[in-house]
Amino acid sequence: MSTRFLIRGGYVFFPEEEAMRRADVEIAEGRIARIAETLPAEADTRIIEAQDKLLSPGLVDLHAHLREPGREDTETLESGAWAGLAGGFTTICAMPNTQPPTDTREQAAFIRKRSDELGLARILPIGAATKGRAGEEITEYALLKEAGVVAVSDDGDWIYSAEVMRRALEYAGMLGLVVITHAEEPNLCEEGVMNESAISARLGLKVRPAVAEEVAIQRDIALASCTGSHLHVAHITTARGVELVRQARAKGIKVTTEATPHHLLLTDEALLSFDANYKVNPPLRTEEDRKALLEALKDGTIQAIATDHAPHAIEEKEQELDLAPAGMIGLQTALSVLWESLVEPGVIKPELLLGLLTTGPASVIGEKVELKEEIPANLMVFDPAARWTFDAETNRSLSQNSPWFGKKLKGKVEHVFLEKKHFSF
Amino acid sequence: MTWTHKNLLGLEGLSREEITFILDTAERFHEVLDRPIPLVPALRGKTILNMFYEPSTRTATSFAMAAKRLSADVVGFSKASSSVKKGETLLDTVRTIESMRVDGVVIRHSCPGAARFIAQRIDAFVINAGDGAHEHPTQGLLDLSAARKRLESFEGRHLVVVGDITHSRVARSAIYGFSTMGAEITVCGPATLIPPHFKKAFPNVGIETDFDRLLADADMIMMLRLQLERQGKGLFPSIREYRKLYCLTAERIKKAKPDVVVMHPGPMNRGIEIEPAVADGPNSVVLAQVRAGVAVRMAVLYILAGGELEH
Repeated sequence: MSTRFLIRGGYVFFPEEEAMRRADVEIAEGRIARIAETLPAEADTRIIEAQDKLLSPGLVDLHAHLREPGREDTETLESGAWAGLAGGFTTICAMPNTQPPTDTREQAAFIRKRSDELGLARILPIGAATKGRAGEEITEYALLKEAGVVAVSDDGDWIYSAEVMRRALEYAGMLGLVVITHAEEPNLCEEGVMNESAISARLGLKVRPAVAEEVAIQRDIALASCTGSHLHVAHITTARGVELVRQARAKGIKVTTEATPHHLLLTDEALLSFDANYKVNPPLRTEEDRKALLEALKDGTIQAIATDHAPHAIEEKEQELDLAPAGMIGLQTALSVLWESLVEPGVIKPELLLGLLTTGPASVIGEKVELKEEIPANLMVFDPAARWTFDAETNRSLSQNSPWFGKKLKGKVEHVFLEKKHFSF
Repeated sequence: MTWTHKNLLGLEGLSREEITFILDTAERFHEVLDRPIPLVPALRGKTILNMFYEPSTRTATSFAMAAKRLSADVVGFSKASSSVKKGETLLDTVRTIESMRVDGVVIRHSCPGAARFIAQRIDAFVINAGDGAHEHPTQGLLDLSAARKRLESFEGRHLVVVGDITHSRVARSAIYGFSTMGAEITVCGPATLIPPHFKKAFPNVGIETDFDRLLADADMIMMLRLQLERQGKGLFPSIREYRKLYCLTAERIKKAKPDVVVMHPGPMNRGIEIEPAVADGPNSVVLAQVRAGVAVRMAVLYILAGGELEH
């Protein structure tokens, strides 16, 4: 097999400049050898024609549930990594709510080791912020960090005790770790399955109101301000929530946040179908909230788009809405649906979207994304015009709980280069 | 008219013509119920399955009786347990029904959308007998049927629905049914029991927290059953305070129009949301509602099953 590739004529996203321009990129021995406007093809070089296609550093997902250990019937580190690669992601941060949770050095080391063995998308563990994710005692952040943890979080649950959250921030801050909060005040969300809105008033469904997110963000921002530590708000969904983050950032408080593709593209009207694939936590919100999220992407209040990839078994999802678990998968479809719905109609610029999927999330966990000569190859080629169907045949995840499952999508990742490996899809 | 719906999952979306058609058909069954032998062979050979995942006496009985009066075979089960998490999934139950080849399914379930969930997956017709706080269409129809016997038309008539609006499927079906028939509607209850975005969801429905302000103008008053366990959740402070604010007392009925129609879906908490003197008084159509329930359910079963009515 040729170890030299020439990707010719693509639009290349240069993350440090936040700019795109046409260039040829040569990869040799797993490194980016040359970048120039035009490069001659050497002998023994495999040429990949990328006219009208996009070449970008591999994407970074801050928020995925890979279910191993515990629920390997719905996803494994391996299937999740494949789903990621097929969606252009070369780095995936794995949330710790597995069974058992990633709350010890040993659990974190297991994920790191398995990721290395697999040699697919790099999986970075996020450690549980509290032991057993019980919200009571903080875990061994220093040991977790030593084992490769890039952040701590009790995602899935808000750390209910303000005291525990304060200590988590203080201790994580000392080690330079970010604390990721799932900002929903649980008392306001009891048994809730959807946003509180005109739609819920019609359907009679139990609610998880916007104010639950606002209350939680407000407290956590106060604690981030008091500790000076880095707070990251997972999957932000409300207009008021992004306004709180915007104001906090303006005051110099270290707060970052992310939005998911589904909250950027869908609203609670989807629940009119009673389809449990639209049941997610936090829930899909109103059109007004969705528009506020898009504004917040543009003005930099939101730094990252994260999938919140959450696989669930068919038999769990195909139930009454009240009983079905919350979450949808997203690794393989994120870029396609975002490109088609946001970039193509001109809602956001391509370089902004790619920044939100590369440098933005990387900076939250203190990493850099570059595209330059001499660094190891970590690239993906995306054809925005390619059409494909997301179905049992193409799906790389072990689960299929996605509203886009069975749908025709536009825009497809065709190649991923990760060090010495080349994956084509 | 030609009936085009396979199922009856809610009153939302039904036209005035369709609702009138059901009510008119129910009138004919009212007449059947008056016969010495109240039985017609309209659904002979058809099998109706009653699935009650929530405790229910009156609705389950009413449906069973309606089906039997139409000569259908009725089989059913009720799951006394309040937890639907135990046992077989709804999907497996659906598959079981399919293999038993029943003609129609009547389902009561605590989860909104449950009737629709089944309807999307089986060939038999489905009647929603109440799905959580979403809809209870035959209740809305029987309310209309009972009220229609007192009022010539619903056009411009004012219906006041009082109680726990948030958790009430009866209220939602009444809103869809009565508004489609031309009535004006105001919901009334404590702020904690009216959904926050109610106005946006139902722009033409009024909201009022002060019951006394509505009495003089009401043509129909529908009192909802107060689910007493809501007090434990802090949605209202005490029974005595609730009674003071929202009980339909003899005092309150004096301030209403003399011919105001009083409805209650039952079972009643006598002395909490409605005083016995009012429940049993001349304005009350509570028993007419029960009777209309059988006729309306006969009509719905008959229409959905495509049965033949003997003349």
